[in-house]
Amino acid sequence: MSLAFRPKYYFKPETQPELEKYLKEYGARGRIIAGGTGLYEIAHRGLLSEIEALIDIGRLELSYVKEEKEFLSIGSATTMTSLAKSPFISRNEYSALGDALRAIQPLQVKNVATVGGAICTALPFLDLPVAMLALGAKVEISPGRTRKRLSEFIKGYFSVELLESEFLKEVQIPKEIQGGEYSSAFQKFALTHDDWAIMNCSVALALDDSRIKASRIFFGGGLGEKPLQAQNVESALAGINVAEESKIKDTFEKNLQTDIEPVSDIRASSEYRMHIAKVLGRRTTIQAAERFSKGAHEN
Amino acid sequence: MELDVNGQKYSLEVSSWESLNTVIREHLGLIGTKRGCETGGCGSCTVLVDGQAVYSCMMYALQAAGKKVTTIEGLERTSSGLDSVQKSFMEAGGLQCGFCTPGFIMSARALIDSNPRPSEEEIKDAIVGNLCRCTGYKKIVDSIKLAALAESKT
Repeated sequence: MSLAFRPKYYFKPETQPELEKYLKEYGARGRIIAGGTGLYEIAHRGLLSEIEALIDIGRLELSYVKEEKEFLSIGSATTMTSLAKSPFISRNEYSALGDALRAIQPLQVKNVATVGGAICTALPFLDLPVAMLALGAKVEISPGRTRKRLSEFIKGYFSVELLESEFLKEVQIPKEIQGGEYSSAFQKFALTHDDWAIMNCSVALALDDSRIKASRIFFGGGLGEKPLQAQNVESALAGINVAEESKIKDTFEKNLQTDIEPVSDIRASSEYRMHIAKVLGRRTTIQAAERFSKGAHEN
Repeated sequence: MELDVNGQKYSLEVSSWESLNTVIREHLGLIGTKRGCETGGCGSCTVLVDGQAVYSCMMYALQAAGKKVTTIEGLERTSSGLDSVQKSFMEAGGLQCGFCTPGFIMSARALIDSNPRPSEEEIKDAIVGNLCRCTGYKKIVDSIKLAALAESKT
C-alpha cells in the first residue's frame, strides 16, 4: 500500500518535445507530476480517477531562477528550497516570496514541492501563489509561449487555465509596479507551524514621499475558490501617509468586507477570519512600507 | 529501475505506484526507515534524496531514479560504529520509544551537513516535519546541538 493514487504508467521525459508527445498522447488521461506532494490532496478528492499516466517533469530543464530585463523568471519545476536559496529573494520587491517560503513548512515538503506545483494545485489557502499574485506575476505556458496573468490563470479549486496539451513553463515576477520600483511582504496566520493558512495576505506597494502611490493586495486562506484581490482597499489606501498607522487600520476596517467574504469551517468562523484578515492586511502593508522606506534610504 | 541507496546501486522491478518508502522497506529490506502516517505528517519515513530530507512515503520510487538516496542504515560510520548524530541521540537521551528516531536523525543529518553550526531556531525549523509522540523534543534538540558541537571539534 501507500500513496493514494496508483497510476498505470509513469513517464519521465527528458526533453520538451518528449513531454509534449506524452501530453498529446494521454490528454485527459495524463497528468503532470512535479514534486508530487499535493497528489494526496488531489487523489483524496477523486480528481485523479480518470488518470492513467503520470508524466514527471523532474528531468526537464525547468528548475531555474533567472533575472531578465523586466522580470524575475522562475522555472516551474524549481523546488521551494531552491527558490528560497536564490539571492534575488532578499530584494525589496521580491521579499514577499521569501516571507511565504519561510511560512511554508515542513522542510521535507519544501525540498520536493515546486513553484509550478503550488500554482497548478490551485488551492486558495496555499502561501506562495498569494505572494506571487500580489507581485503581479505572469505565467508562461508551453508549447506556444503564451503569457497569462497568474490571477487569470488560476481558475479555482484544483483548476487552472491550461489545455491538456500544455504545461506551465515558468512564472515571471515583474520588477516594477505601475512603472516604478516597489517593495513587498507576506504574512500568514495558521493554527500550527505546519498547517495551512486560516488567512494569509501579501502586499506589494510603492511610496511617494511616505504616501502610498500604488499597491496590490491579495488575500488567501478560507475565502472561497481562489485568492482574492482587495481592490477597494487598494483604492482607499492611495495617498495615505504610512506613518499614520490608524488610517491604514481604518481603511482595512471599512473596505475589506467589500473585497472578500471568508468562509466558516472546522478551522475558523467567517467573522474570526475577517478579523484576522484585517489585522494581517494592516501589518503586511506596514511591513512592505517599512521595507520600501528602508530601501529608498539605502539608495 | 536503477536506484542508488546508501551508495549501492540496485536494479529493481517496481510498480509505477510504489512509494520510495515501500521500495526501501519491502524490496530492499531496509526497515530502519519507518512508515507512519503515509500522508506527510509524521516524518518517521524521512530519508535523504541528494542530501535533502524528504518524506519517502510521499514520493514515488520512480521519482528517485538517478538520485542518491540515503537511509538511516547508510549514515557514515565513525570509529565507534555509529554516526555522530546517532551517538549524540544516545548520549543526550534524544529518544524514548524510538519509532520517530530514524526520521529525526535523518532531518538532523541533513541540517548539520548544510549548516554545521545551527542555532536553536534553525534546529527547530529543521524538525518541524518530524513528530515525536513521546514528546521528547527538548532532548532531541539537545542531541542535535551536541552532534553539531561534536562534529565541529573533529
